[in-house]
Amino acid sequence: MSKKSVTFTFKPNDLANIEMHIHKGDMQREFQRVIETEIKPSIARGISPVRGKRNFAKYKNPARYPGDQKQSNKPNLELTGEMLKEYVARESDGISVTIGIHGDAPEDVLVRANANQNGTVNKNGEVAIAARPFMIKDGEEFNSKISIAIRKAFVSVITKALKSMKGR
Amino acid sequence: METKKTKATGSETSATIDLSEELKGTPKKQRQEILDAIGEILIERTLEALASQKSPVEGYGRFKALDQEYRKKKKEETGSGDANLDYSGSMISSLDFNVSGNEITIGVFGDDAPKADGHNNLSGASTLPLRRFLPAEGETYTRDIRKLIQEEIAFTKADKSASGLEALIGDVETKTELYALLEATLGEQSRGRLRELALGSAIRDILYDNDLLDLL
Repeated sequence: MSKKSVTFTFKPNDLANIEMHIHKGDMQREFQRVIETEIKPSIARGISPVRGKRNFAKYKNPARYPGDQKQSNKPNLELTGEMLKEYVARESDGISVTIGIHGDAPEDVLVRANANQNGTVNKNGEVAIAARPFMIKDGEEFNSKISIAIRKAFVSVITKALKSMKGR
Repeated sequence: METKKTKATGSETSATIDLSEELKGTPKKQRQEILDAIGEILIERTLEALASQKSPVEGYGRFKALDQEYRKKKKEETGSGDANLDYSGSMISSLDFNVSGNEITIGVFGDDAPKADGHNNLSGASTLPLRRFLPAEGETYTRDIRKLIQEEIAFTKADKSASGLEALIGDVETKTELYALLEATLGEQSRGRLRELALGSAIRDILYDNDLLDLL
């Protein structure tokens, strides 16, 4: 099973010439705030943060899984909390920020993250774990509320950088 | 964005919402995209409200708790005794929308439509406790949902107007000229709001390409 990271990188190239004025850690802080206040609460309610994906698929056989381990009619990607704890924002080179479950997360977390994001099939080709996408891929967008929060995160970072450029 | 009409039949329980007012000044070719985005917002926000046992419709607030007996049964079967209208999940999974002109029709389509009317009582014939998630005629969505829709429209319009700005921006040299151009493009708003829309949209790229970002 795949053990790749489940992440998406925002890289606004148009900010290259104000890059030196962007305070280190600002981008990461703003995006972590979006993760904590918008993305994780959506997942906790059983709603995919990805535009158009709506409610997460229900469990196929709730008596078998999750059984009595958790509420059985609301898949919210949380059993121990280990996986979502790894859902974080990280600044990579300069002005880009990568959010999601990164490649250095524990192996079992990466396996679960990929299984939830993409779903799995058994040897007969039947769905074993339904896909419950919690991260956007190329060509996808977060839902409107999260997308607007991301736009505003950029506005906040750039406004601070412009102020520092002008020495205000 | 008031509800103009509702429908409660065996295969459709829905509300048709007029968005003409919100779309005023929006070029026709942008409307379909914006209406599709608004429809999706209404679905997402409705699901979110239901998960929180709240109505997305203005004036209804938190849903009444389930009666004890039903709550016990639901908790045994689903693990949750919440009044979240999510038992098997089939009704809320059938929530969808379609767009026609400047209107969005949102509702439950298919076999679960009567169940949806049971909760919403758009027909006036339901005897169940009212847990309204589709607005009745003359009603509207809660303020936070309306605000989100306004934000979606404003940022989408800003994105779409960026290419049109390119031809005009060459003459801009001062802060006053830049804000005048942004106001002419995005409508009369405070400078703070114009800055937010410009920096949070594709206009940012145009300002960057023309070395004008620092005028904001």
